[in-house]
Amino acid sequence: MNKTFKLQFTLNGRPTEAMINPSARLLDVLREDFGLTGTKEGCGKGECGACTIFMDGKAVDSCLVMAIQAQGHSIITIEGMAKEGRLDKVQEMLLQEGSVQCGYCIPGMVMSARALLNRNSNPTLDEVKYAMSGNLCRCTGYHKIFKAVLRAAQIEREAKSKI
Amino acid sequence: MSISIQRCTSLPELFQAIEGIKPPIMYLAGGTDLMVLLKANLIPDSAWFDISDIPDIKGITVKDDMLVIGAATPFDEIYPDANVLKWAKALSEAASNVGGPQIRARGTIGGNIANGSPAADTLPALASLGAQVNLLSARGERSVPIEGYALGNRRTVREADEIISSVSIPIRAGIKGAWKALGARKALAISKISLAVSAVLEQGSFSYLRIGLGSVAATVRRAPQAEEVLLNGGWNRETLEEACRIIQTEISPIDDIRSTAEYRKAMSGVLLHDALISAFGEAPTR
Ligand SMILES: Cc1cc2nc3c(=O)[nH]c(=O)nc-3n(C[C@H](O)[C@H](O)[C@H](O)COP(=O)(O)OP(=O)(O)OC[C@H]3O[C@@H](n4cnc5c(N)ncnc54)[C@H](O)[C@@H]3O)c2cc1C
Ligand code: FES
Ligand code: FES
Repeated sequence: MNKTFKLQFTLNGRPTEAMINPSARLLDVLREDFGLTGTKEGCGKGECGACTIFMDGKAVDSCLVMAIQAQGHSIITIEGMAKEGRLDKVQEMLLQEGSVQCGYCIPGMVMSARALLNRNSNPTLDEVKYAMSGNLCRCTGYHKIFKAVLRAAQIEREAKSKI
Repeated sequence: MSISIQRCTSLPELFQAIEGIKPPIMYLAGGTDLMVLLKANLIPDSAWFDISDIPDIKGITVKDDMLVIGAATPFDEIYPDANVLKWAKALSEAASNVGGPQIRARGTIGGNIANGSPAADTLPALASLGAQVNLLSARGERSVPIEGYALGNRRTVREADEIISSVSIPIRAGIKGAWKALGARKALAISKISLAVSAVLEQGSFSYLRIGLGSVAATVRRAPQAEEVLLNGGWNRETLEEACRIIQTEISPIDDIRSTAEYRKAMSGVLLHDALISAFGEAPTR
């Protein structure tokens, strides 16, 4: 592939630079050029949310973004969620609630849930459903995923009120 | 299939880049239509220009009694905007229903309008609001009413070297509105039919009222007969019933993979009823 475009952006908090193929999708550049394979491809057409990442703090489908569109922007993938070896609260609660079956949808679910909790620390079940309506899961039936997100929100609120 | 792609961060840079380029030219905004077509191998050999980071065509402003929405503004910045909620409620409702959160974070109003798809959800709302589409090229600027923009299914008045720079919506004091649609499911489904109404009601009569319909014809269309019933007769039980009846006879939708003509006709009356009542918060009292 002709890697003729110099991509400069912030990846998982670090200023990053790489020569990439200008007509590659961000999803492919993340997975293949940077080895960040936690971001999954399900449908490749914006319908499943398996490829969800943060672009400037918003949850977006990386299969619908050209890599060159990330120039100058901040991208966070599932690999950037754990801080100092500790899982994000959403990840922790998904494990604790037994919300995960095959796991393929989960990185995207975590990103959408975190995007919601960052702007709304006390969402209702309906707000969780609206925020995660772009993420499909073919295993779980969603119930335990939503429950984990609501618990993560609750624990974070309690932690904050103690400070 | 081969595509070339270039990132442009200002309008002069864009117009310089496309000079002399042979169409088809694709303006990559949110990519929520283009990237899907690319994946499905439905994109012809073409030159792509990324317009998603051009500040001049992003953002929402109010100037000279017009609400101006930059073409590259994504849906999730449109629907919660205070000015959009106040002056273009029907558009806010349409934008909040496009796709799912990830689609609304990237998908833009310009991309929704650009190709004249009859199923684009913002079109009925924009038609009900009497919006103008502002076109820009190295040759200059021009404006067309939203209903004159699309000529037929996927044909529009836009030339290859023109971009949509923004849409302008006239500000009308006291305007109310609503957008309603039916699809197979709530998120991520293309509407079988959508309807928007925008209206100004003063002491029981309408000084402004327009109805926009999507997915019932090759382009977005209005419902002039139903509008007339309400404009002439005001807001009461009788006109509501009559408008919801007449709208079913004045449209001529078709059967397609998503729905049937018969269903769309019947539902146009139901959606008009729901939209009017949701716009004014209650059924007419007389
Ligand atoms: C899963 C999914 C769900 C969806 N759900 C809905 C829905 O509910 N309702 C709905 O209406 N749509 C829906 N869509 C379609 C799509 O999201 C919208 O049409 C969106 O508005 C397209 O905007 P964009 O910026 O992503 O366009 P892009 O894909 O970037 O571009 C689309 C086309 O518009 C042209 N273009 C873009 N901007 C301009 C401009 N400023 N001037 C001139 N030409 C321009 C491009 O050349 C291209 O041909 C959905 C798409 C997906 C993938
Ligand atoms: S892979 Fe991107 S939404 Fe399905
Ligand atoms: S756990 Fe298998 S797709 Fe969600």
